[in-house]
Amino acid sequence: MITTSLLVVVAVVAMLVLFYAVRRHHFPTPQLQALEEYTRPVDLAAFRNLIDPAEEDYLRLQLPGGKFHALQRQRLRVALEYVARTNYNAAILLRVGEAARRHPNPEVAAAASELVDSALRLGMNARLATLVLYARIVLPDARISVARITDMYENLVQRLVQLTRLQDPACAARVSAAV
Amino acid sequence: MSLSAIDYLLWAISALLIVITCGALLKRKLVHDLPVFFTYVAYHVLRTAVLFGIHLLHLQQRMNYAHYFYVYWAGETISIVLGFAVIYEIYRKVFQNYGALRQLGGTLLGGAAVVLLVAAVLTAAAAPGADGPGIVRAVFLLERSVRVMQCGLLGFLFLLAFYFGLPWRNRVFGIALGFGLFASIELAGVALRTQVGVAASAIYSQVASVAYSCCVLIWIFYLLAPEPAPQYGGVVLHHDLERWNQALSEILQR
Repeated sequence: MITTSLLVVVAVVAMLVLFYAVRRHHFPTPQLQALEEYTRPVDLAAFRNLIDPAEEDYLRLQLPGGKFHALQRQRLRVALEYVARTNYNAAILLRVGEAARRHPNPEVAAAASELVDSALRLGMNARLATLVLYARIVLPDARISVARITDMYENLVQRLVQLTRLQDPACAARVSAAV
Repeated sequence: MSLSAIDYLLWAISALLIVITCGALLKRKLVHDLPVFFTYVAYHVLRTAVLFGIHLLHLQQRMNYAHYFYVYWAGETISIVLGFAVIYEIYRKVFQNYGALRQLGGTLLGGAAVVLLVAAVLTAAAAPGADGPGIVRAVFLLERSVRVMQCGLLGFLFLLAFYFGLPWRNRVFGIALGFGLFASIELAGVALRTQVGVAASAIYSQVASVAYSCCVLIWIFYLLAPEPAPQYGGVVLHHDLERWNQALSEILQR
C-alpha cells in the first residue's frame, strides 16, 4: 500500500510540474520597449562593492572580529539579492535573445545569439554563486570570490545594448537602465 | 472479452483523435521535423486498426481472446519503446540550439534514467500487486515501471529546461505536455490497478482511455495552433526599412 501511495504522489507531483510548465510557457516574450516592466534593476557599482575582496579585507582590518562577521553576513545577504536579480534578468534576456535569434537580419540574429550565450553562462554561474554566498554566510572568513559574476553581468548588459542598437537605437539607453 | 457501450465509445473517440493527430502532422508538414513522434502516432493508428480488426474477428468467433491479448501486449511493448524514443526526440529539440548544455543535459538525463530504472525495479519487487503470479501480473508491473520512468524523465526534462531557463517551441511543448499528462494519469491508474487487482480492471481501462484521449487532444491543439509569430523584441528595423526602400527604388527605376 505504501508503494502504491508513493507512486500516486509521484504522479500528482508530475501533474503539478506540468501545470507549472503550462503557466511558464505562456509567459509573453518581453518587448525591448517595455523591458523595465519585466526586469529588476541591478546597481552594478554597489554589487561590485559588496563582493570586492579588497573592500572585505579593509573591513576586516578596521572592525573587531564579531562586528566584522555580523556586517559581512549582512553584506553577503544583500549580495545574494543582487545575484538573484542578475539570474532573473538573465532568464528574461534569454527569452528576448531567443526570439530575436530567428530575425531575418543576420546581424541581429548574431547579436541575439551572443546575448543568449551570455545569459545562459550568467544563469549557470549565478546558481553557483548563490551556493558560494550561502556557504560564506555560514563561514564569513572563507575566501571564495564570486567577483566574476559582476563582469559577466556587465557583459550581458553590453550584449543587450548591442542588440537594442541594431533593433531600436532610440531605446538603447532606456534598456540599459532597466537592467 | 465483452465491452460496454462506453468502452466502444471511448475506443472510437481515441481512434478518431489519433487519426486527426496523424493528419495534423501531415498537414503542418512536421513529418521531417518530428520523425519519431510521427512514427509513434502512425504506429498507433495502425495498431488501433489491427486491434479493432482482431476484436471483430473475436466477436465472430473466428479468433479467440488470447490472440487479442498477445497482439495487444506485443503492440504495447513496441509503443513503450517508441514512447521513450519520443522523449529523446523532445530532449533533442529542447536542447538543439545549446551545444554545451546539450551534453550536460544528456548526461543528467541519462543519470536520471538509470536512477528511475532502479526505482522502477525496486517498486516492482516491493509491491508486486494483487494479481496472482503469471503473465497479467508481469504485464501490469512492466506497465507501472515504464510509467514511473516516463513520468520521471519528462518531469526531469521540464525541470532541467526551467533550471537553464530554456524556452520551448510551442509544438514540442505540446507533445511533451500531452505525453507527460498521459504518463502521470496512467502511473496513478496502473499503481491503483496493480494494488486492487482484477476488480479494478474495467474502471482502469476506461480511465486510461480517457487519459489517452486527453493527451491526444492536447497534441492536436498544439499541432494545429499556429506557431506564434517571432517577437523580435524591437520595432521595425531601420536597416530593413533602408533595404526595402532600396529594393523598391531599384524596381521603380527599371
